[in-house]
Parts: sequence; C-alpha cells; structure tokens
Amino acid sequence: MNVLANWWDLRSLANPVNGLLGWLRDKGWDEIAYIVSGSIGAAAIGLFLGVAMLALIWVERRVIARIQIRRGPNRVGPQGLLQPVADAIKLMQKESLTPRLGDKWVFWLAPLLLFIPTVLTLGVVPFGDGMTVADLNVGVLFIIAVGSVMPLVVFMAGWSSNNKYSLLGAMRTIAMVLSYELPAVISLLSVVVLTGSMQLGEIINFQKDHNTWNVFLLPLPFAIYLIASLAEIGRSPYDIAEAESEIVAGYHTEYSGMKFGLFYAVELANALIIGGLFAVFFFGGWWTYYLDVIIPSWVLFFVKMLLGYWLFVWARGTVPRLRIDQSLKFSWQFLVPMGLLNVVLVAFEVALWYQLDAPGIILAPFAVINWLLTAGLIVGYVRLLKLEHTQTPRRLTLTEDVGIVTHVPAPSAAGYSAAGGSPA
Amino acid sequence: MNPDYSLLIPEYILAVWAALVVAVDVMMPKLRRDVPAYLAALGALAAGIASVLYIDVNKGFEAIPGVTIMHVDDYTTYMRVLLCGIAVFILLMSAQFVRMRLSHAGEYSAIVLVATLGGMLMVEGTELITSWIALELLSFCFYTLVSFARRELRSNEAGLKYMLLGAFSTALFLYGLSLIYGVTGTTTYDGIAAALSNRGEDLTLALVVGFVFIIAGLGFKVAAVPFHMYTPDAYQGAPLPITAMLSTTSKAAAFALFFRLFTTAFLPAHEEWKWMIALIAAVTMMWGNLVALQQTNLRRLFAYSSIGQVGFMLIAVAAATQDAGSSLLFHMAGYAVTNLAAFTIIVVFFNREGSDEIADLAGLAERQPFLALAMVTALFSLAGMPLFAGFFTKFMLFVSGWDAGLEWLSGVAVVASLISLYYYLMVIRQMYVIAPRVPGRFRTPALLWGVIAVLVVGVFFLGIWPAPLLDAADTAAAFLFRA
Amino acid sequence: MQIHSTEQVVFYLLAVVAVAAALGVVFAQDIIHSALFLVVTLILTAGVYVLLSAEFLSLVQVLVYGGGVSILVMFAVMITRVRDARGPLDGAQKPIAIVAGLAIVTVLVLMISRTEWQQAIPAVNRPDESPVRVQRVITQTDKGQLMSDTDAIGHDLFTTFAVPFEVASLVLLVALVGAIYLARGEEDEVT
Repeated sequence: MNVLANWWDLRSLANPVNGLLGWLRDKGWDEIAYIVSGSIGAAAIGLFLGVAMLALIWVERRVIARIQIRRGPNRVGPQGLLQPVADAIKLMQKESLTPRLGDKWVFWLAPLLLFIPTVLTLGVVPFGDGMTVADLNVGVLFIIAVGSVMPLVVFMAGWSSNNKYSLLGAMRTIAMVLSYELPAVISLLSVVVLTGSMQLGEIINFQKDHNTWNVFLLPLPFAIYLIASLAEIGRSPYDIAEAESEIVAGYHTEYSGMKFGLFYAVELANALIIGGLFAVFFFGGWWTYYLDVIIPSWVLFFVKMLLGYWLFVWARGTVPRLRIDQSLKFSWQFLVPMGLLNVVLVAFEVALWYQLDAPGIILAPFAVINWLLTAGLIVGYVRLLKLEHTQTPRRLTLTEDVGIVTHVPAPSAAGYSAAGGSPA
Repeated sequence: MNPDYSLLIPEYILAVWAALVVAVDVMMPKLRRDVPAYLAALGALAAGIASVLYIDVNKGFEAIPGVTIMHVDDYTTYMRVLLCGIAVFILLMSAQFVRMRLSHAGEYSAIVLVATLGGMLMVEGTELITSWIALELLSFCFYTLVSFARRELRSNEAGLKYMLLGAFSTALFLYGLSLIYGVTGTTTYDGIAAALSNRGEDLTLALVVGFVFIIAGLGFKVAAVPFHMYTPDAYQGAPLPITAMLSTTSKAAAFALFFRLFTTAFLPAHEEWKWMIALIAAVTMMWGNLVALQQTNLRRLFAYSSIGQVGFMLIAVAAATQDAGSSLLFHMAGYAVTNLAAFTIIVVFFNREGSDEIADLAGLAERQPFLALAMVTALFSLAGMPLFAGFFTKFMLFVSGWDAGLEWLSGVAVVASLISLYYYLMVIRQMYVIAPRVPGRFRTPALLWGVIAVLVVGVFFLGIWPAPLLDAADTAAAFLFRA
Repeated sequence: MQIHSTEQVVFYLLAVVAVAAALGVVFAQDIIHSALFLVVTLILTAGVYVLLSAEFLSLVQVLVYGGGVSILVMFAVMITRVRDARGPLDGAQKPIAIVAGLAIVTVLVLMISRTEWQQAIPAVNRPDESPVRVQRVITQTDKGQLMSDTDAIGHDLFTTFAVPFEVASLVLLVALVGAIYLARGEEDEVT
C-alpha cells in the first residue's frame, strides 16, 4: 500500500494518516500502529484546541461587542487579532494564588481535571469523512458519561476554595447539571432510537442514507438539546453558576493566573464541542446534501460547528440571565415531560417503520407529524401548566411571597404616590 | 417466543391497584384518610382471589426456552395467597392507625401493596437476578414504610438503621450470588443445580464462601441472630401495622425465597451449607428467646419473639426435605395468623392509649376482656400450647428436623420453646393479675373487633383441625422436590 | 504470575491504582478526600470493564458512579457539617477489625486463586437463542462480526429479563416516592 496515496486530496485529511497506519500494519507492527494513531489523534486534538481557543476568544469578544454596540478589542495586532495571545501571556505571568485555608491538593487538581472530559469528548467527534480519532460504537453514551464527570470537578474547585461564593457557585452548577442532564439525555435518546445506533459515524450515515437532517425529523429533541446543553456547559442565559452580580465569579472566584485561564478555555471549548455535536446529531455532521463532493467534508463540519458556537455567543449577548429556581423548574416541568413524550412518539414511529418494512420515504410523513405534534405539544402544555409570560408583573410577587408587603394595590393611572400615601 | 404473561395476573392487579390508590388519594384530597387503606385492602383481596385461580398450574415463565426466570406452581400459589391475605389484614388494621397518626395515606397503602408484590415475586423467582430484584423491591418498600412516621425520631432512627443494614446485607447477598454465578456460569436455579451436581473438588471453597455470603445476606432479611441487630429498633420505631408487616410479609417472603433457593438450586451441595444454617438456627432460637425475657416494651418483646421463631423456621431450611418444606409453609401460615392477631390487638390498644409498654397492659382483662382473651390466644399460640395453631406447626417443624438427622437441633428448639413460654406468661400475668393503672373500660372498634375475631378463630381452626391447610402445604412443598 | 499481553499490563496498572485509591478511601482523614478517592476507584473499575470488552457497562459505570453517586455523596457531605467529621472514626474495636479484615482478605484471596472459574464459552459455538446467552462476554453475530455488548445487553433486557427490568422500575418508583415523602417540607402536615 502506498503510504502517500492521495495525500494531496484535501477532501480527507485522513488519507496520509491512513496510509501511514496501513503501512505499519502491513509490516506487522500492530502495536506501533496503535500508538502512532493515538499520538496523531492526540496531537491533532491538541493543535485544534489551541488554535480554536485563540481564535474563539477573539470571535467571542468581538461579536459580543458588536451586539452591545461596542468595538471590542482592536488594539493588539490588526483588528485586535493578537489580543488572545496577549491575554494568554498576561495570565501566565500572573501570580497563581492558593487560598491558605483551602484544600491545596484539590484546588490544584480541579482545573487540570476539568480539561480531561473536554479532550476526551473531542476524541469521538467526527471532524470529517473518516476523520474520527475513535468512532466508538457507544459514542453517544461516551459523550454523556464523560460529560457527567464535569460537575464533580466543578464541585472540587468550589469546595477546595473555602469560600462561600465558590461553594454556592458549585452547588448551583451541580443542581443545574443534574437537572439538565436528564432532558439532554432524553433528547439524544430520540436520536439514537431513530437512527438505531449510538455510533456518531452511524448517526451521520443514517442522515446521509436517507437524505435528511435529523433536525427535520426531530424538531423537539433539537430544541431540548439546544437548551439543555446550553445549561449544562453553563453559558448564559444559564450562567448562574458564575453570576457576577450575585456570587462574584462562582466556583472559580479564587482562581487566578493560568488556572483561571484553564477554566475560561474549557468553557469555550465546551461550547465549541456542543456546536459540533449539534452538527453531528441534527445537521448531518460533515454530510451536507452533496456539497461534500465539492467542498472538503471537514470544512463543512467546521462551518456547522462554528455556526452552533455562534448561536451560543448570540444567546450570551442578547438573553438575560435566568434565576436558579426558574431554570430548574423549567427543566423538570417542561423539558423532561416533553422529551419523554417525544421518545415515545419516535419509538412508535420507528416500530411502525420496521413493522411495515417501509422504504425511507416514510420519514417524510413522520417529519410532518413530528413538527405538528411539536407545535401542538408546546402550545398545549403551556396551556395546561397555565404558564404565562411575565414581562410586565402585575403585582410585586417577590416581596409579597417573602411577606414584606402584604398588599400592593395595582398601579392606577394616578400612579403609586396616590395609592401608597401615608395612612391618615 | 413470547412468555406466558398471563401467569403474572395477580402481580398486575397489585401494581395497577397501587397506582390507582395513589391516584384516588391525589385526585380527591377531601377523602377521609382511612379510605385508601380500605381501597387497597380490596386490591389485595382481588389479587389473592386471582392467585387462587392458579392452583395446580405448573408452568415456568421463560422468555427464551431454558431460562426460567419465574415459576408458578402450588408453592407460588400458596405463598401468594398467604401474602395477599396478610396484606388485607395489615391494611385493615392500618386504616384507623393511619388516620390518627400518619399523613399521606394513599402512598402508605400503595407501598404496602407494592411490598406484597415484591414478596410474591420473591416467591416465584427461579433465577438469581429476578429473585434479587424482587428482594430489593420488598426492601425498598420497607425502608420507606419503617420511617413513614417521619415526625417521630424513633421512626427515623428505625428507618435509618434498617436501610443501612439492609443495604449492607444486599451487598453481601449480591456478592454471594456473583460467586455462585462465577462457579456455575448460570443464574437459573435449574442450571445452578445441574452445575453443582457435577462439579469438581476445586470449587468447594468458592461455594462455601458464596453460601456464607448468601446466608448472611438472607439472614439479615429474616433477622437471624448474628444479623438481627436492627430488628428490635426497627420493630419499635416503625408504625405499628408496619411492625406487624415486618414480622409477617417480610419473613414469609424471605423464607420462601430462602427455601426455594436452597432446596432447588443449592440442594446438590446440601452438605456444604447444612451445618451453617443449623448453627445459625440454634443460636437464633436461643438468643432470641433469652433476650426476650428482659424486655419491657411489647414491640421489642415481639421483635425478639419473632427472632426466636426465625430460629425454628431455619430448622426447615437446614433440613431441606419435603416434610420440612410443608411444615415450614404450615408454620408460616400459623405464625402469620397468630402474629396478625397479636398486632391487631396491640394496634387497638395503641390507638386508644398511645402506649406499647408491657406495664401499661395491666388489668386489660378488666378494661377490655375481649382484647385480653384474644391476646392470650395469640400468646399461647406463639408459645406453642396444644389446641392453638402454634403447637401443631412447631411440632411439625421439630419432627421434620428430627427426621432429617438434626436431632440435636430439634432438642434445642424444644428448650427454646419452653423458655419462650415464660415471657409470654409474663404478659398474660400483666393483663390478668395486676390491677389496672387507669380505670375504665373501653370498646374495640367494630371493624377491628371483627378482624381480631376472625384471626382468633383462625388460630383455633389451625390448632384443632389442621388437615386442610397441611394438605395444601404438602402439595405446595412437593412441587419443589418433584425432580 | 506471568504477564502475557498488553491487556494484562493495563489490567494490573488499573488494579493497583484502584486498590491504592480504595485504601485512600479508608485512610484519608478528610471525608471529601475519601469521596474523591472513591470516585477514582469506581472509574478505574470502569477501565477494567473496558478490558472485558464491556464498553456499555463501563460507560454506565462512569455515568452512574462518576456523575451520579459521587455527586450525591458530595451533596450529602456538604449538607452535613464537614468540619465536624475530621479525624479518625475508628474506636476500640480497631484491633479486632484488623484481624477480621485480614482473615476475610486471606479467605477471599485463597478462594479466588484456587477456584477454577467458569470461562465464557466461545461465542461461535453458541446458539443464538439459548440459556448460555446469558453468560456471554463477547457475542458474535452470524456474519462473524462482533456484536457489541450494547446490543447484547439490550437484547437480554428486553427478552429474558423483561420482567425483572420492569420490577427494577418499580423499585425506583418506590424509592422516589419514599424519598420525596421523607424529604419534602411539612407544610401540609396535620399535627
């Protein structure tokens, strides 16, 4: 086998690697091939993460600035492009403080451990056709399992700081992640039931084979996963774990220097990964309606990944932060039941499909049904729960609940001064 | 191939009825708080009637041919009917108690039903994983029920102790099961028996260790002696009807599982475990009855008395013959009826006086002669006096032990039985000889009066004319030894 | 003890660290450190499952213990006052406990090394629908490709063990009802 066959074919960066590995296997050095493939994968992920981090910091700051009608960083380098580098150098120079009464070991370990789930998750992401480090047959479960360790690390960070704000932040994170992991898993369950595989490559192949994106078939899981993953990685509007107006900076209040930098980097990387997972689960991964014949598949994937990321930045710039009780309630009362209903629905459809042994075109009516039911379910459930949107509070609910104000008359045209006048 | 799902109709009835009870309780908040208990009792009755329909059915529940995870035979039917009957009486005696002292009557009654369901599955399971998950179902129900009076510290303490030790024993049990699986390579009882009968010599140590762990785990569940520490506290802290349930449903189901597991799956290795169970049985009956002598609290007394009874029942497991099986089943029924009678009386007394100290029973014969008389019946039956149910059932047990070559164990049992007479008589003395502390007669509520009357009649019936039930028990036990 | 393959090297590595972490659970003075050591042990156990080609099981182990149980432990530790729980928790029974522990270890080690455990039957020789399916480690489909343990577990759960599976959901339901009943506020209580 020619090691350098098709190495120039940019459509798949995997060609030279596969060539090298094939050559090693032909020689009978299986174990070396194993080690080499692992090293190449690790190097690629490391490189990708490094470059992406630097780029994303700039993107995020500039986009947010534009949303808020500011200019954003524009001094260091052309258009401020070197600003992330400057930031990184600054963080590295800073003194790395450790709270004296904190738990030193755990305090040091937390930022390091936090990186592990992120890197591991990248290992199963298919960056392009044949460009996966390890396409596990339990890929979806792997992502969920690895991600579920994250709150533990956050807890380590919060607890070891020996600071009430840190601890509160950690508690909030855990409550959030526990509540939102469930809807995320349930929505992915719909995807797995429909595609019949937990392997990310197979999920993409399903979409390719049936000429569809899952988002057309599973609108409700898409919405649920969008919201839940947003909450899981703790980005706004779900960044209550580090709500600076309430608890300073949450679990990383006490971290400084590069350790803080790690927290920051992991947050960005997670957002990026979730963008990539969106692409895989709901937007066909690297497959894009025959566009991948012309355009390299990995470019398509990166575009989708960045679009997903951009969605998060957009949300961060425009949506106000939720309260912890609101967000938890929303998960348990709305997302979880909706997701469960959807799983049942999808399971029925798939069973019907297999029973009838129908051709793939049956997915079209399913798509229509799913969209209609999604709309119906959301409207109906909102009615059922009697949820109203509370843009304009009619009474001072909070103070009334606390019991400070027992009765507040509705504001009349005359205004508060008349109603709240001193008792005569 | 689809398994025969119709074999599980009594279980379906219980599960659906439990959901129904909770739903009714939630939908109708104005409902009086004893109604859910009566409703649930109806469900248990329905399940019991459904179980009767399976007399002489002999069929395995297998999803894949050869893997029989459950078996419905007369043994199952006997125990199903017994467990449903116990549940009916427990719920009847609960109704007023719950109304007076507990909240969330719907959940309470539903969990009692689910516990019965768990017990039924334990009886019919013929596969390790199925039996274990059924055991867990029963245990989880009891963890909740024991601490159901959540405002009482004693109940909380009882629940906590019961749960911690229960979880620990489950771990032991599971480890034992995994060792057996590792040795035999299968989890079905039949498969284990087949593998054990042609095993090599090198398996002995693993088998013995596995048996030790399994016996320890089950020993916790039935409260045999080295593993009985939680029993008095759990009995004293739990809501009273739950104490009754602990001493009946939990023991009956656990013994049914114990006996089925050891006489079908582990019988080829009888020599390996016989001595362990015999030893535990001897220690249990002596210890339980001796410590019972010092008790001043009625519930703790019954806790130790039940430990003593467990010792008697373990004789049957150690003997592992068909006669032992039938006498175990028979004794279980007699013990359940007697204990239910005793606890219904205590419930009536407790509802009225709020006390469960033996000293407060003083002069009960004057204040409420019916209760005192019924109590005497129950206590004599527990002690094993002739004419009462306990005499005949115990006699059968001891004889079966003797026949199986455990003469010394039967001897110990007779001695322990004599000791037990002393503390039962002390309670009777309190009721009949000592003058009442609080004067004034009181009445027994009509329903509970009826319940007690039925149970007392049952005690006499089993004592005087045991043949029908004994025949049933014999047929039931025969199914375990049909191979 | 001879080392034959890479798997064995990995296994002994995992095993040694897991046991060390388990000792850490017992000997750590700080209860949080104990809990963290416990997580390490449990996750390394997941690694052993991977060596047994049970990927699904290993990931479930990580998910349940790494993500669920450990968090619950942390919550419990945090809600009870951690500072009071420092210091050794052993008492006068220490010598007895040491002797008993060593005895149990001896018996178990003897048992494990002496016994000839059941081996998984080679998947090829096994009919698809048979009792021995239960004891599979790796199953092959008739096409000769490996059937993942996910498929195998799914198959068993929904055929052979369908009823225990449902009973497990009942167990969870009861636990849920009980936990909520015991833990929730008392505003509706009638005294």
